[in-house]
Amino acid sequence: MASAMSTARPTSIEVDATLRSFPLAASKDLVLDNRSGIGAMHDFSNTKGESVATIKWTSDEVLAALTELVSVLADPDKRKSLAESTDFAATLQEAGVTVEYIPERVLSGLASASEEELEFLSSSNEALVASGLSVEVPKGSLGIL
Amino acid sequence: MGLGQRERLQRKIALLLPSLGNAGQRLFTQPRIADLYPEYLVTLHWIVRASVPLMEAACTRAAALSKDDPVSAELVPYLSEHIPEEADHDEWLLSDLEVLGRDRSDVTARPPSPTVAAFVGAQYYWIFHFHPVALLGYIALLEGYPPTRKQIEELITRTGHSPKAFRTLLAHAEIDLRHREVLDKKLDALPLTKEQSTVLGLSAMHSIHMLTQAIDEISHRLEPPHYG
Repeated sequence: MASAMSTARPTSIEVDATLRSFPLAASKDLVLDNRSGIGAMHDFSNTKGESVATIKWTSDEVLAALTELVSVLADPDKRKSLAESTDFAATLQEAGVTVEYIPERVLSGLASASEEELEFLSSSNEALVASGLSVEVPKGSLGIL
Repeated sequence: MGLGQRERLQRKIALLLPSLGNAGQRLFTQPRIADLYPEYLVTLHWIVRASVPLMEAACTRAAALSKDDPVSAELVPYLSEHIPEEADHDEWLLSDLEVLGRDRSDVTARPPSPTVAAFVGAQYYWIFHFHPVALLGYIALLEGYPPTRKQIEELITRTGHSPKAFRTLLAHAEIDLRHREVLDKKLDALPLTKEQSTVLGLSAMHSIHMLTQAIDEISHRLEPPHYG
């Protein structure tokens, strides 16, 4: 885990040693939207098509937001509010999570979960954070039936 | 319009699936993967040999509930059709293990790990003490995300073992895709209560958690003990 939990957006990408421990996230082909998790970036061009600026940020913000999320899920009252909410993202934001840095896949999964399922997820912090830091869901797992 | 059961379940699975993918990556990138691959098949055998008995248990329980329970009534034909499709897959694994020099009687004599017992055993609990629909969460995970052919070919190269020791994996790379389609349709057709939808999700997420642990334990099985 990265020790830094900065909320500032650095202007250059920094794939640090932490990310290298998450193989799915260590791809260089990160052309992602702003909720994809790792290394989100936006390129800006001038009218001639020349690149003039790139805003990129690293996983620090994602990690910080996932840490906030884990803390909220640990609270039974907040879990209940989330499970009963009709606007999951807004309720999560009100509970103190920087929703813009939570990957869409994590948000939509949590929004589909009941109170009992959120309780189970609250005991799966490590898996939840690993999921939030992964760029994509693996296409094949190792399980077969 | 609300989400269908299939979409809802897939979203929950997608929440934790990367942790299982990471466990697979850790296992398959081990320098000793040639030695570990037979142990991986042994673990799969422990799991797969319970597939048909689990589905039979769920089908029997669903049949008993079906008169007053529309979800159970839908489960009976699905499971009755699926049980023969999964028959003998444990034998396939034993045959693959024989290619690797593992005697089938030695494999079947080994006590399965507590992790696998907890992984599979949870399904018996839910089937008998809550509702047999829980088993579909387990099946959705195990059939929904089979290894890809490319992953298997890379594994063959990395281990240096004969492709004949990968027949079960190669077969599932194809047949699970068909099974997943059938299950997806069934899930969307089930009139689940909120509680039944929850146990479906819990079953799938618990299965990811336990399978991840079972995969991680494979690497530790061949490590010498460390003291002090």
